Amino acid sequence: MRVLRTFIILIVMAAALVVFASAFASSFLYAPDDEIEAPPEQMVELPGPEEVPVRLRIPALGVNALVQHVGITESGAMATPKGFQDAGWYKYGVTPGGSGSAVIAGHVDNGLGLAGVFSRLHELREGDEIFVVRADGSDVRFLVSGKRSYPHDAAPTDIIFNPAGSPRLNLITCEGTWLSDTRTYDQRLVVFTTLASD
Amino acid sequence: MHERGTTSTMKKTASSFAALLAWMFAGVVSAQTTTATTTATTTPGVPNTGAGDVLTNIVILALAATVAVAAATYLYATRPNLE
Repeated sequence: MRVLRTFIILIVMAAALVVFASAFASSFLYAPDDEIEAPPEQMVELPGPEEVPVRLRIPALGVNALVQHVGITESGAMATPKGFQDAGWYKYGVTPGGSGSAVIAGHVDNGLGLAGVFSRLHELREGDEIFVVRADGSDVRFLVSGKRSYPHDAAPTDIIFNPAGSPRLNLITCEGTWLSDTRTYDQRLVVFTTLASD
Repeated sequence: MHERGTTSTMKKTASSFAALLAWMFAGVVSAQTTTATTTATTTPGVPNTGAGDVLTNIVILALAATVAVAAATYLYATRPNLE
């Protein structure tokens, strides 16, 4: 009987450790990941491998982040990077430096409330520099032209993801109040930038 | 006789635990291979860059840690005296 009790306690302890490890990994290390394979009709011609962004630098915030290439989620939203300290470039949209608005998103916090890569995005001011490092090692420099907050369900996606016009880069993250029922923040902060003319 | 019954119960418990782990693993694999059902659109919705419910995560971590520590403490307190 004693052996059985010890065995059951060991099973309970092992289960608790598994739950702890998985909860810790998902809340501290890895962001929620609900990205799906894009439907064929949404596939676009991807840029050359040397043009894709690999790092994002924001000197004013001390950010130097890895850039992941993200697609869409099942609900049709832009997917997010899998790490809280990484940024995510929308790979079915505009390439940074190309015509139109490229979009890079980043988490505001992790599952334990600690700061994510874009936790200080609201501190950016007009004229601050943003650098996108491409796979070939070249930099593309952008300058902040403005920022604005939108309700999460009423953000002007046609402007944020505009595929035409002059080269721009829009950075986006969450802010506001956490909504438990929809599991999202109620606001999105968008920092608009334009390609530096140099 | 008693030992045989205990061994049988342990095997059943281990089997149930293995089945539980297999079920959890199958769920994870299934979630990762979800195929697209979204209506195609060239303009996606804004991303959800919040990480989740902080309070819920902290409660889960605290509960799991408490259970693990309590189980370890119990095992230590009831360890066989080899002297």
